[in-house]
Amino acid sequence: MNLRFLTRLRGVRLTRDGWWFCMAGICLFFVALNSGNNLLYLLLSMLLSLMVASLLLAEASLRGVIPKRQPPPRLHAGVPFLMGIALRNEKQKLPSFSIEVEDLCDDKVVDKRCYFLKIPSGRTQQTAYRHSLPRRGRYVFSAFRISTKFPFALFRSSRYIEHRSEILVYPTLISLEHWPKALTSAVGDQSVMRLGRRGSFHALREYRQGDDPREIHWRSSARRQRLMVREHEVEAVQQVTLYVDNSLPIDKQHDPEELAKLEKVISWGASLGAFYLDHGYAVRLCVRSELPPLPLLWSPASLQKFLTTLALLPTVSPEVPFQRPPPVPRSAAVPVSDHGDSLVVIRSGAPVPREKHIGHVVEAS
Amino acid sequence: MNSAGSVPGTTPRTAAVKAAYSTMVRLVQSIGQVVHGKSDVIRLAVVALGARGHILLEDIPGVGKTTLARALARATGGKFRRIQFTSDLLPSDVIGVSVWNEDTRQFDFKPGPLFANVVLADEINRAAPRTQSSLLEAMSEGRVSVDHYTHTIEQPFLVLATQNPLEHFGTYPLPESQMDRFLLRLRLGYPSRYDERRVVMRGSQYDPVEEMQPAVSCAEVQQLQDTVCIVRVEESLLEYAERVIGETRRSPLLQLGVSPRGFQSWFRAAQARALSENRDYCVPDDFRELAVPALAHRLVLPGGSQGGYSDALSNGRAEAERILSGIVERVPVP
Amino acid sequence: MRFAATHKAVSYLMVTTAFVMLMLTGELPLWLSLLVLGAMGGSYFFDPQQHPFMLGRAYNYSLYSVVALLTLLLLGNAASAEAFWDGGLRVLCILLLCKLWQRRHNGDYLQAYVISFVMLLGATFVESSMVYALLLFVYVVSVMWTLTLFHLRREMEENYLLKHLPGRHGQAAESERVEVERILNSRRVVGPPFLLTTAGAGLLTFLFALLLFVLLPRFHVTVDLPFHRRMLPSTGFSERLELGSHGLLRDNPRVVMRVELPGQSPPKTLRLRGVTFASYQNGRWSQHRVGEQPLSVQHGAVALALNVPESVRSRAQRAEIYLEPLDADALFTPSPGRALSLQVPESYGGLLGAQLGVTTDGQIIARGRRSPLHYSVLSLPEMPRESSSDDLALYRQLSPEMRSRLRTIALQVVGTTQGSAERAELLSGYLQTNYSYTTRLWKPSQSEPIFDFLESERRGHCEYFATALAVLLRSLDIPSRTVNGYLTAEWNSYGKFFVVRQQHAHSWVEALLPGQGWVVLDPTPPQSSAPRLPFLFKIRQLLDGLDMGFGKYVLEYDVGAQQRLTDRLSSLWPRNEPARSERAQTNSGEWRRLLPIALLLGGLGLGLLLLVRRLRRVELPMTRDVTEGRGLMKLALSTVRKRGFVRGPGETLKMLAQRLTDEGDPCAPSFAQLVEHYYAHRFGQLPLDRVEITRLMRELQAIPPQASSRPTRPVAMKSV
Repeated sequence: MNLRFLTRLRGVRLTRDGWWFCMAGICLFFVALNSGNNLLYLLLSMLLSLMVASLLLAEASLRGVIPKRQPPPRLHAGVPFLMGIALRNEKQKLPSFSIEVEDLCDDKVVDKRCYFLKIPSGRTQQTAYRHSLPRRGRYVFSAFRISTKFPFALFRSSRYIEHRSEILVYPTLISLEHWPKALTSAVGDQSVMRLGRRGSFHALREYRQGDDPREIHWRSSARRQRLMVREHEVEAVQQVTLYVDNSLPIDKQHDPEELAKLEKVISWGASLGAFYLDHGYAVRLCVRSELPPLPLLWSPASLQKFLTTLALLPTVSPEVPFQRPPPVPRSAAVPVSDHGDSLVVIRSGAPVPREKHIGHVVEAS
Repeated sequence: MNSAGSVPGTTPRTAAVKAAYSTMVRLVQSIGQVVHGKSDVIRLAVVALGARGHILLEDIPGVGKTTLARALARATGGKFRRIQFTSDLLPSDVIGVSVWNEDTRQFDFKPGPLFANVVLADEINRAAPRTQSSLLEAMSEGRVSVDHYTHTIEQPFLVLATQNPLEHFGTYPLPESQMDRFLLRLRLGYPSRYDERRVVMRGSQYDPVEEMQPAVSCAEVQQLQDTVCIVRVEESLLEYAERVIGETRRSPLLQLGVSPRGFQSWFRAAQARALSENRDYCVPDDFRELAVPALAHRLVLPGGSQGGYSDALSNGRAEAERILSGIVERVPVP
Repeated sequence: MRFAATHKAVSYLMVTTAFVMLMLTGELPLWLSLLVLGAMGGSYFFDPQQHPFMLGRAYNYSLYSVVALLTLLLLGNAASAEAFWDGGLRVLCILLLCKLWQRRHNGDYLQAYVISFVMLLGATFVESSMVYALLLFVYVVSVMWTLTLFHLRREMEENYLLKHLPGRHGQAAESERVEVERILNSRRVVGPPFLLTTAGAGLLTFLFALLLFVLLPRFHVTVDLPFHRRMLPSTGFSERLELGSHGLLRDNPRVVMRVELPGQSPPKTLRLRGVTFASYQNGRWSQHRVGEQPLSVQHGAVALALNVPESVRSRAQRAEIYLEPLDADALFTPSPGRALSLQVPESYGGLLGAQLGVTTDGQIIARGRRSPLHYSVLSLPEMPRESSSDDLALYRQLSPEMRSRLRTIALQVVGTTQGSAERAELLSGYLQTNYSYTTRLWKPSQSEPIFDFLESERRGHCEYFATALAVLLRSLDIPSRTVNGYLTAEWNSYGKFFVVRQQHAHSWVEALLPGQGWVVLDPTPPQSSAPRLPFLFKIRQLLDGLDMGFGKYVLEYDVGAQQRLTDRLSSLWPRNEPARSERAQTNSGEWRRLLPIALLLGGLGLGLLLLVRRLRRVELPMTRDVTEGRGLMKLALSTVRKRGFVRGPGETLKMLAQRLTDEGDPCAPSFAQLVEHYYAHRFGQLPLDRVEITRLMRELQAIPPQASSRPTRPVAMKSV
């Protein structure tokens, strides 16, 4: 019997023990052939049927087992995170034993495994593996590979289960210890705690989920028999415009060193933006792009949007101009004062965009 | 072992389904004579009407949004009103106003244009938020509260709102709660070359909508709406829908998933779509095909950018639809 | 049940089973077996983990050296294969005990398993009874348990049981090892349901092994290996006859032979002739292989008597003899009778490499034969009429002083009777009535123990009786000889065969009577053969019957049996009849030989194919299945899949149908209609129109598959 054939099957692989087992079987076969002792044939067929039983039991163990991913809410490039894996056994009666789950990220197997000793029928068990994704961007986790050596560790049977999740990896946030002092003092001398609670009255509107209860206008609420809240115009805040230079000359766009530098720049941009948003500044992000810029971000809640934008930022050629912040129309719901702009260019040696309001230039180290 | 009830053509249930189907067919045919080459959209509009839902037509100007709305109104034979939304429009302009009546010495309510069977809210995103919000109650509950009185709007009541997503200046984006109240968001798109030529050749003085005769009566529309509720939805379909909804809520790419109201709307729309194909039971395609029109506008992208609005880096609406399509393609259908 | 305790218990079950199998073969001395069993039992309650000195390296090395020394002692001066074999078994026992007393971690268990397998292998070489099969079953079940638990334990000890603690603020997450001890002592991992299910799987595995056993091809590849079965020391039967040298003959119930008499009604008793003795002196008979001629096997048969006319030959009867390993060269034939030919199995069985010979008095000798042996004897029911005159002198030989002394005794008995037949009758009857049977030995007082027997003791066992009669006959000039063999009355009604045990060994006399030829005379007083415990006797008979079946159908299963089985199976299909006869005309033998192999390979190939298909399929999570009508759609989908259209996870059936239509596939219309029917049934709860469905399905399957390749994945979804 040609056993190599078995090993080539996708999904079934002989383990080292399995090889020994096969060798024992082959030896036994020849001895049985020579001696003509039928009991040796019986023993040989026992070995063979143990192998078949092993395959079938492994199949039974893998059947009806459904893995799910539980990614953490926020991921940053290069930072280890825990990917939760939940394994559910949907079989009616039989438990599943000894199952390994491997994740497929961008069609490659992640080198981490999750091991489940036993999953009783109808139950779900959870575990996690530690992993870190080196680059920002969108990652597609396409499928799982579940495998088992159950019951005798002769074979490793595996199968793929499609389960797609897209995961957005934000740029790495650099911790505050390395924060440029000059910059923070320059723009942070009048820190504003929260935005949107002061300023002149704009309108009354119906209460929506998530509104600050302190903004409820009780008098009109009583009159209308439903909760009404005040809307304010946002008062003047410190505004920071971040120009993040996402360009590389075309001939260097595949140079790993240059790309690493660019990543660093983006990561600095993300860190600064996160810092400012956290400290109550309004942040405007300008990158090299043909698309219109993001609206002005002015609350910690919009950090996600800011980071998403940076996470998906493509590399462009230096000919592409920086986005120009649009004039803010008077009629917009969020009027923001346009004074006190600070311009931060994060790119060592990069040409400074031809903008007038250059405040501080921070060299990223 | 056939039970007597399952013999076709004998039960009141089957008769109701037949009647509803014929109502829908007549509506589609009638509108189709005016709006050319858009049978898909027309059918969905009729489905929305059947499901007591409101429609948000969103497209660039000049592709026939208003024509479709007017045709729908004419075809149902109900009262039709059109409100052109502008930034200075006040809630009272829409709802109505109480006027002091010297003779009776009390306030008389003068109903606004909202009190009609089909209301076309043109360029809804041009009005201030409070005016937009004034539609909320009417759309969800079919009544209007002014001062201390509640006025009921007669059924059938359908709001057809149009908006132009590309214009930014002087517009107020619809809040999520408002978006959530629309059953379907439809897009017309450019007509085919042949259809476009037909429209152009027709000449400008002649308005075919004015010539339209009502295809169905309001009573028939109401009967259709009642029939939608009896359409059977099998357990596994419900589970399928739950999974899709659950996926939108879990997706890391979305800030807000579909609300229970959204689920309900999707469900009802699927039921109505089943009727439009002369079935008294739903099939997976009903849910599958309506997923994007019924759900995409309810999704909220991270950073507060709504599925309905254009975004700095990518078109948010397209993004929401893409994410939703991804989910729908992934969740196994029964 | 605690995991570790369960693992230990089933491991011991497995190892003990293997050892008991080896023990039951009788290859190990009893004292050693009991010692090893006791030591194994002791080790069960010994925990090496609590004795730190056992974990050290010094202990390890000293143990290794002791074992190596013992091995050297036991195997170093083993001159023969047998000595090597014995020594090897002892080394195995030592190794097993070492491992069992040294269960420090999981790997030690694995080594114990390997040793147990080697023991099983050893037992397989020498065992041939039914008990083997039963114990093998126990072994298989315990293997299932043991290996499964072993695997789980290894996985949990060596691998991934890491516990992750979520880090703060999505920063570095921490990991720590889970206490394996805790899981090993957990009661939740395995329980009785697990063991029961696994035992069920073990039963199925065993049955499948039996099936494979039947199917595995047997070849005639016979290379002489030094692995032989140990010959059973014959305690009753002997190829020598020396009065006063044998002890308890009646007590050993070990089966030495089973005899089937096909096509005959069983006689009351069956005599099996082994060796004859001609010359007697001083209480000792010696064997004369008179006129021994070499024999050769031709076409599986050995001709013994050539000059027998065909008319006589037709009266010959057949006896199938299944001989257990017996330490004797003789082959047994039914007596009285005249063996015409022997038939041996195609593979020669135990006769491979043996020297065959036959003597003029009908002894068949196979020197250097191996066991077990199955042969059939074709024999005439009567003895040969006469011998040559040279031989007769041999059968009358007696020393002169003995002759005179015996003649007086004989003449006292026969008196005036003259005819040889009558005289023999009288002498035989005299011995039967006036002497008593005993197995107790007495010490002979003179050089001729036969006079002690005849004159003073007047009691003895069958050899005394036979000798006495033989010499008495000789003193009266009647040619006679003694015969050693077996006399059995134990007819097994379950298996329809005679059982011959060690205790059935017997001696009797053959005398040449004028006009009658050689006649069997048995002077031994008949023994009461009624079983003491009838119930136990019945059980023993049943077990014997099973054992016989095991020997006949399992041990003897060979190419011929495989062929017969195939023939029987193929005769179940009457359609194959003409084809088979055609083949038979051309080259029947080869074909038949290949058929079982082809069947086996075909079956295995099919199984593998199915397995591969199963494994290749990527299964998608499905929560609930609706069984009704689902088979229909599965079939339709598989048909469509063969045409290159694979349904994506989020693709509804209608969309698939639409895709088929768009691609212009010819099966699109029927598929679309099928989908409509299926939808109406599945979601609308309408009854399925079976006639219509069958029609559509036929239509769908009738369309030949296209050769051109198709996109196998659904194209991107059409958005509305």
